[in-house]
Amino acid sequence: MDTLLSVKNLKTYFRVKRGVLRAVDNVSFDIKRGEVFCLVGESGCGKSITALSIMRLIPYPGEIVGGEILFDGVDLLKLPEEEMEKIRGKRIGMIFQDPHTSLDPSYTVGWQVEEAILLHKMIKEVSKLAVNLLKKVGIPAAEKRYREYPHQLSGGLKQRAMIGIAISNSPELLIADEPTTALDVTIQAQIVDLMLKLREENGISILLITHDMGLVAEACDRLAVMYAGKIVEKGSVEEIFSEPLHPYTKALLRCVPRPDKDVEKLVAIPGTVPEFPPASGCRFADRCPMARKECFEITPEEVNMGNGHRVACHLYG
Amino acid sequence: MLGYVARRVAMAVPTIFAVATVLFFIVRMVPGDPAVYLLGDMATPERVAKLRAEMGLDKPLYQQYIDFMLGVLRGDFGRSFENGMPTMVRVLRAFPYTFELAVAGTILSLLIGIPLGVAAAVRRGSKIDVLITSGTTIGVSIPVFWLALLLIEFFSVRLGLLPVTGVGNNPIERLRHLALPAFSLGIGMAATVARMTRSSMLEVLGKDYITAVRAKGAPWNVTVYKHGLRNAIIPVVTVVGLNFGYLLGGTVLVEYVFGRPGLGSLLIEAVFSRDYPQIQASVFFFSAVFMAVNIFVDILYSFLNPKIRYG
Amino acid sequence: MDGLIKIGEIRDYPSLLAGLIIVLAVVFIAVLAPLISPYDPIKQNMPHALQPPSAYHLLGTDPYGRDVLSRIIWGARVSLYVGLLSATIAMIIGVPFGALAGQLGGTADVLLSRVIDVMLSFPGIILAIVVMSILGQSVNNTVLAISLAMIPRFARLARGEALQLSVQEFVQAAKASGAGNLDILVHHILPNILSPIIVQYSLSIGSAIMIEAGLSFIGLGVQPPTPSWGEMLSLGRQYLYTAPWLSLFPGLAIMLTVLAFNLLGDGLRDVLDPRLKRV
Repeated sequence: MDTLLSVKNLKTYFRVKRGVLRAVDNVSFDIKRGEVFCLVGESGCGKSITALSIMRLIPYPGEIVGGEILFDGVDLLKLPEEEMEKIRGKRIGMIFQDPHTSLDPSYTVGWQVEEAILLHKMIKEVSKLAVNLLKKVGIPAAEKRYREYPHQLSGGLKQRAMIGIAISNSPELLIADEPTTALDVTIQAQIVDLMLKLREENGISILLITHDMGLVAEACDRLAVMYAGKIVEKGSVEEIFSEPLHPYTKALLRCVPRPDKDVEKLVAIPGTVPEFPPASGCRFADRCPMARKECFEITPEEVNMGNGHRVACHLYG
Repeated sequence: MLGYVARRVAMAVPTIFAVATVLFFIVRMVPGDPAVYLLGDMATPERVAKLRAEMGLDKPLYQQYIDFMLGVLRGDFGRSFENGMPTMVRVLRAFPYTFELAVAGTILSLLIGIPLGVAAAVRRGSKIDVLITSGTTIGVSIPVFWLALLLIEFFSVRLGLLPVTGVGNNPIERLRHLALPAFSLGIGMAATVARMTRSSMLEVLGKDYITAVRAKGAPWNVTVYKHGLRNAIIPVVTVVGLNFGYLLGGTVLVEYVFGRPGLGSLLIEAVFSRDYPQIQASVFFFSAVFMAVNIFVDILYSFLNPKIRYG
Repeated sequence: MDGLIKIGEIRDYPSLLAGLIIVLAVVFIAVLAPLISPYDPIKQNMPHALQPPSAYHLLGTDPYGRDVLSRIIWGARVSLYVGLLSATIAMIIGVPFGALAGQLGGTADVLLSRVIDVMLSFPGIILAIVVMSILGQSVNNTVLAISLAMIPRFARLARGEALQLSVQEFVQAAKASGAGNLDILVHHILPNILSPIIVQYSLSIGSAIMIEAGLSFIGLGVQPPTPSWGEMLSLGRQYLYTAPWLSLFPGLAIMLTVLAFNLLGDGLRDVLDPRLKRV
């Protein structure tokens, strides 16, 4: 099957004292085999929660309240926990934003790589496998690093180790939640190259979550733009970058400094993402320069603009 | 890490000398003739003369201090007024009873408190969590000597299961006599341990690496124990150490209630018979033990925390 | 000033509410003791000795025929007096010294830290016992002894907080514009460390009451015939087989009072520390 992951109408809500936080509100997208799919948006738009929903690792007090997540045809949301544990770390791997806090400080790097492998199969020569994995993700002096503790490694090395852990059982999907945000620019490039190389060699699909449009342009095949828990636009990278439709997408693209154009100043989008948006109406309305009366009252439906390009905005439908 | 240990011990040495110095001065900073004042209504001429000689009160102050400190270095704190025995010897004889009580109490507090804390943290917000949290809040407010009386009332008076006073001769009897005292101490401490474990676990369980471990496919119980508790236990160790002073104070009261011939009983007895050399020796020893435990806890902490162990 | 409680929100803090109610109840009982106490707590009444709880004596009588309930009511006076006064003295002495040490740093800090270490190397009640053994037994000596035992915890807390504050910009700015150390202490440091100090104060009152009860229990605190909960337990201990009610109620009184101050302290901590505010 060409489509590996199909998220349909996903809803993940958080019940807090002040009300219900609709972090992921009716989100749908597909990821094909072997493609790099980006989920883009500002902090707080729900993209990380979407990723955690796929893995069913929503923290308290959150809960997945609706939708389907079809992975290779099977709805992950209906699986019993033991079955889900067989998928995590084996068929879907995940790496996180901050490499400094994603590794357990009390165990050696090598032990943690071995744990990832041993959780899914019994292997005798597991330490050799672990060291090879560290080498594969480009960690120099792997044997030495294998015996070291996380605090002894740099951020870039830790992130590589995390990638090694995530791919240790040859998963079909790798979820990367802002993998480069916490790293230096030079290291960022290396990590991205590493991930793309893995896609080349193993045909792994990658769900890349980021707020960096530059990274999207560099690494992604298709993308979806998220705002305040909803997807506002999706399509291929070529389509969206050449012809962005949604005002928010346009604003995001304007934020990227481009060496090929003369830009007078960097543009920021005024306002902030709403925590508790109103029940109906476009969520971007209060920050949108093109907003009309209906934008505040009626929630825009997704419209198909051809070539797999879809947008949810009253300007187009 | 050996360097760390050596540094910690070195830091403690001046403190212990300071403690001895404080004890030296504390009995002399009284109005009028220290010997008369200290003996109070037990001040017979012979006792006054004896105390004066013992404390060296006729010598100049600095000479007294030097004699005292030299004695401390030798482990000589003078002789008890009660029976003339060297005070330190009486202390060392009484110590094992206190030691076994403190150890038993600590072990019980950990055995009861840690599982309760983990259970409350893992089921955060549930009825069990509320129950355990309320229970521990009440638990830290219960006077240890009252708890001792309640346990005696229930287990000795009503049920006749366990003995009250004394320590027992053979190992089985020793344990039977240790049971109620150890539980009196342990239950109160367990409340503190449970609270600390709960809050430490909640903090650890909120960390990214816990989610990352689950993302590897780890089942919940493996995550909770291998990764959660393993990291959460570190501050709990510190808290147990910090509260050890409170525990020692508790042993004094518990020994009093149960008539155990430990350090606490020795101290109380010395206070009532105004046996100042004995008071000095006992208090000094309590402080030394407390400091030793603190050093031990520091070392344990640096052992458990790889960031300190491996720089 | 942040930390002011809006009356409407007090429902969100059950600990604070519960603690406050019980503390006020205990204070009421102590203050109104002469009015609400059914019997004289000191006068002996041998024909009525060791009676179990009944309609005439709600909590029974002790070996001297004295009404237990009355003694508990009057005992609240001693506990509150010792508890409040000890905690207050410890705070008044410990906080300025600790804050000054944290603010100044350098030798002052090192010196004070050593002193605190030495004081802390005596477990609380043991220090109190030693001081009592020298000073002699009376209510005020008890206060003194317990205050001494509690000064280090205030000093240490104040020092830690002041240390963190002293490196912040507004303090540096004040120093640069020529403010004297005492001035900085009073106007900049102390007002900002109020929250944790208040929490510690409440918790310390509970500790002080606990320590006083312990001292009275072993006979070193308040002297009879003044009723003290600890002393009542000591008496009760001798009659465990025949009059268990003597051991139950005074202990319950101690526990409830200490619990109240602990709840108050926990509740204040929830209210005053914005970092711990739950979503």
